[in-house]
Formats: sequence, C-alpha cells, structure tokens
Amino acid sequence: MPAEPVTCASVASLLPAMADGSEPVAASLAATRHVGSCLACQAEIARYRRLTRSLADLRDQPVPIPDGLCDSVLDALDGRPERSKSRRLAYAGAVAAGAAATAVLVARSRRGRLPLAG
Amino acid sequence: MGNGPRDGSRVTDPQLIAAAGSGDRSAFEQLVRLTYAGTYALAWRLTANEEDARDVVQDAYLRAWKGIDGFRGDAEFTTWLYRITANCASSHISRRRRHRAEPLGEGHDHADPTLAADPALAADVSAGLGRLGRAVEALPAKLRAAVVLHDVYDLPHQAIAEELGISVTAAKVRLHRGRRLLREMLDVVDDRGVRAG
Repeated sequence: MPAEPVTCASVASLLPAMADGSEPVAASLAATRHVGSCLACQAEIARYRRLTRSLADLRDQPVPIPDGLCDSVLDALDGRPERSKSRRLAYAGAVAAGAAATAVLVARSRRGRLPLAG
Repeated sequence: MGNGPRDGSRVTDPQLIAAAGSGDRSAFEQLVRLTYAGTYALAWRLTANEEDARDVVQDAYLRAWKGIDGFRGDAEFTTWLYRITANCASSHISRRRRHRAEPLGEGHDHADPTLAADPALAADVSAGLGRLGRAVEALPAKLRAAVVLHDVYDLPHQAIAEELGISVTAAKVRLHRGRRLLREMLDVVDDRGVRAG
C-alpha cells in the first residue's frame, strides 16, 4: 500500500516543535524533507518563532497586583487569618446580627397584631 | 490594585537568602516583599483568575518558608520560587477542576470560541502583547501552564515536567499544542480585521 502523500496540513502539528530547532518524535523522514523544501511550512515556522519571542516579552508586561497581597502573605506566614477573610467574617457577622435583629422586630410586631387579627 | 514592585527576578542577595535559609523570619519576609509581585504575576498567568492566583501565592510562600533550608543556591532564588509556584498552581487547578466543570482539557484542539465569536473581546486584545496575553489566558489550563512556564518564564522541559507531575514528553506535547492553539486563536483575531502588526 503506498504511503500517504505528505502535505502542509499533514505536517502542521510538527511545526511548533520544529520552530525550536528540535526534531519531533513523530516526524517521518518524508515529513522532514517536505518541511525542508516547502516555503509555506518554512514561513509557518518563522511565525512560530515570532510567537515564542513575543511570549518571552510577556514576562515584562505588568500584571495588576491586588491591594494588600503582600500583607496577606505575611499574615499567612504568621498563621493569622487573611485580612480580607477577616473582613469577610466581620461583614458576615454584621449581616447575621442585622438579620437576627430584624427577626426579633418582626416577631414582636406579629405578636402585637395577633389580638387585632382575632 | 497596583503594579507592585518589579518582578523581583534579580533577587540575588546571597546574605539575605542565606539568612532566610537559616530560619531568619525577617529575612524571609524581606524576600517576600521583593518577590511577591513577580510571584503573583506568574500565578495569575497560570490560573487566569485573581482569587486563585492569591491562593496560589500564599501556598507558594508557605511552602517556600518550610523548604528554604533546602535551597542550595544552585539556581536563582526566583527560579526556585517559580517552580514552587508552578507546582502549587498545578495542584490548585486540579482541585478546582474537581469542583467546577472545566471542559477545556489537554486534548482540546480548537480555538476558544469566546475569542472567536466575541468581537468586543477581539477588539480588546487588539494591541500586540495585550492580544497575545488574552490569547494565553484563553488557553486550556494544562496547555497554558506549559506555554507560560517554558516560553514566558524560560523553565526547561525537565523542570516543568517535575513540577506538573508529568513526563518530559508530555510537557513538550502540551507546549506544542498550546503554541498551535495560540496561532489558531491569533489567526482568528487577525481574520476579523483587528490585526495589530
């Protein structure tokens, strides 16, 4: 049975590795020959090389750092709860206290209305 | 939000590192102050999520403090720290995947449809590196880790394989799939007429 003809599409998955100058494990001799003589594949390898150079430049791109990050790391090292977690706990406590107070007021007002309802 | 100090990649003060290694907590805290911005940037690039990145950074420094007496100085301090961060991020992403449906796995080989279908997002990523950064964020987590660690942070395949708990061959396969997917994503954006050079 004759071997499948090598085309640009059939070697496309090998090109990212070839951009590193390495020989992909899956590359057959026919595939390597095709890439070596195909201008379109050579151009694609050049694009991959530009891509990897640009990726290296990403490291210098600033990333917005959350406020208080350093303090929360230092707190965690000290075994203290993260400050933002403390704030969340305080907030949850205030909400729970508010809900309890509301429940008491509602219960009292219902008790007050009972005689009228009867 | 701020940009914090520089990424701390030139933390080479051997005395500070040695002091931290011998148990000096204030020396280690100084190392944290010098490096947290860079560590967070890596964690954020690996997780593509602020809350996850914060958790990863905390885990990484806790592990670094526990293990710094074993740091022998045969690599840059930040390289050592980044390897720990990569390992923490990998564990964090695995745990997260168990709790949330995350369909984009290693075998995914099509461009992220959100980038292809959303013109606003495509326009948003129109500026050179910004566009590339958004495409990296859109990669499946496993492929993103390989691309970020190798092509952005220049870690060798062996180190990446060790920290991600995979073979060197698998690390290379993920890297090459990630690059290919990035090319497809960027082509999609280019085809929509927002080419940025």
